Amino acid sequence: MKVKRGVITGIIGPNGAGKSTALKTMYGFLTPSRGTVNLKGERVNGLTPSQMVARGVSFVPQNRSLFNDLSVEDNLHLGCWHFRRDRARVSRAMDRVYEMFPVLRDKARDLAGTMSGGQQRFLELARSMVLEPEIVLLDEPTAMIAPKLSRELYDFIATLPEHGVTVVLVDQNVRQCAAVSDHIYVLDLGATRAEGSSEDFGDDEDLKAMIQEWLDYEID
Amino acid sequence: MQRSSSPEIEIDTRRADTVRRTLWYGLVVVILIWCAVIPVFDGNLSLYFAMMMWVTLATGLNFIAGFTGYMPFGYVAFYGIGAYATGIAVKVLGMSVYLAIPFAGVVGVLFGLLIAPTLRLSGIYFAIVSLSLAIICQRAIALMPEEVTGGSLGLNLGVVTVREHGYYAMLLILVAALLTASWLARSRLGKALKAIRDDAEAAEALGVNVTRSRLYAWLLATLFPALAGGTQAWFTGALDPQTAFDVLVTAKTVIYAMAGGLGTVLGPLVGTVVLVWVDELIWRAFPVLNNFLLGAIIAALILFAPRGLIGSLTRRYPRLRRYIM
Repeated sequence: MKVKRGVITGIIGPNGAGKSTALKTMYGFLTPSRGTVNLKGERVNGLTPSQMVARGVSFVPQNRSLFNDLSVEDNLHLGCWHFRRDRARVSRAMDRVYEMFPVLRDKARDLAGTMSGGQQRFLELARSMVLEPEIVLLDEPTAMIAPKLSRELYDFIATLPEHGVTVVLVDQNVRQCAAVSDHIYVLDLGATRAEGSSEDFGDDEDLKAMIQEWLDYEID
Repeated sequence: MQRSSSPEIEIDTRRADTVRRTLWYGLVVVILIWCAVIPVFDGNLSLYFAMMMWVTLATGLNFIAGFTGYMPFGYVAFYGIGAYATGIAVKVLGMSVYLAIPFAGVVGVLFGLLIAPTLRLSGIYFAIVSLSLAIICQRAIALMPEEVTGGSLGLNLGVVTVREHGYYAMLLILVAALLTASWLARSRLGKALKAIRDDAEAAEALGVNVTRSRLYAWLLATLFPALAGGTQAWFTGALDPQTAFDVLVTAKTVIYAMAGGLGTVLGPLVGTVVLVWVDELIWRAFPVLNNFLLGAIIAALILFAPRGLIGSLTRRYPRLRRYIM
């Protein structure tokens, strides 16, 4: 699997395909039993998440990862942990993220746990952005949030490459994932079944049938 | 997400910060002055000493239990070690008691460092191992040569100490504990600790060094009981293994801290002051039934305010959070 700089790479597949495992392995939460993870030519197998953060990689996990008893502002400040001693940079990063998500400025003093599910997801995304990352790993960002917010979230994700951010996106929502992704990997049982752009997939009847099968399964 | 500019909110937030800090530091100054003049106007020095000591212990416990979620049932070990470090420093090493108290703090922290690997455990396992270590410490001290620890009879420091000086030392330690708590609550370390308490994996994902942060909280939590134990030995002039390592010290500390609300700076202070005063009043009015009544009050408090007085108050009135440290 190769992720190109400055584009959105989508990873789709049925439950148990290994999508989240792939992201966690890239981020250092898991050590690969085989193969290597390389970042800009550097082998990063065995590096901790903290070391990956230092290399400009951020990760938004599938499960809620906010600190509910801390305020919105404190949650965002924790996103600046890697450069916490550089006050000027922290201040710049906070201003930048408040500009991207103005509603968070209004809620800065609110406890994260008191926000709605959609707002919490935006806060998680915002927290991953304060790091000013080169690469963002997003695991099921729209899981369990309302369709309207889901669209807003995807609209935002689609703009990230314009800011020079490389995105690796895992989502069960094949249509939305394919719509924003420049390149797609199809995983099944831990192996890559296919890869290409969403247009390429349009011509592959077998692949379309396979994806349709998952969709039918999900719809049921 | 809708765009909105909010200068009013920023001003409001700054004002709330100012009010919160003013209230807190004002309270610390009032406590300092009140406790400083008590020996002049009131003969009940022991009650105020006990109050200051329990607030210090509850605040120290809050560093590890409130900020990281670890509940050390053997918390008394640091109190006992501080008391014995002071006793041995004065009686055996011939050290001045004024130097013996910081020495006790250092010994407490070093012991905390020694058993820091137990932080790899969590929940009830950590609590049980911690309690076991306290019992081991008690037995070890009792079995040591009498010329060092006084054996099971303990040590008598009465002839080398001045009680009032011990009282003021406790006051200084209390203020240091409260200021440390307020610093921790506002610091990056404090925020990281609360994040780790909520979700250690998520905190790690942001680059927080979970092990190191927990260790800092742990060492802070070991310092203050050691200082308090040493000062208690100074104030009473005597110590023995049974009282220095009495598991009730842990139990009372936990109850006082929880009664106010773990995780807040004000909680352990309020919980301790309220319960120590209630205990004193009940004891005076109902000398026979005092323990029964105190137990009933604590049970009611835990039932009706499970997050403690301050925790429950801020839960019911969330806006108050902005003004409470």
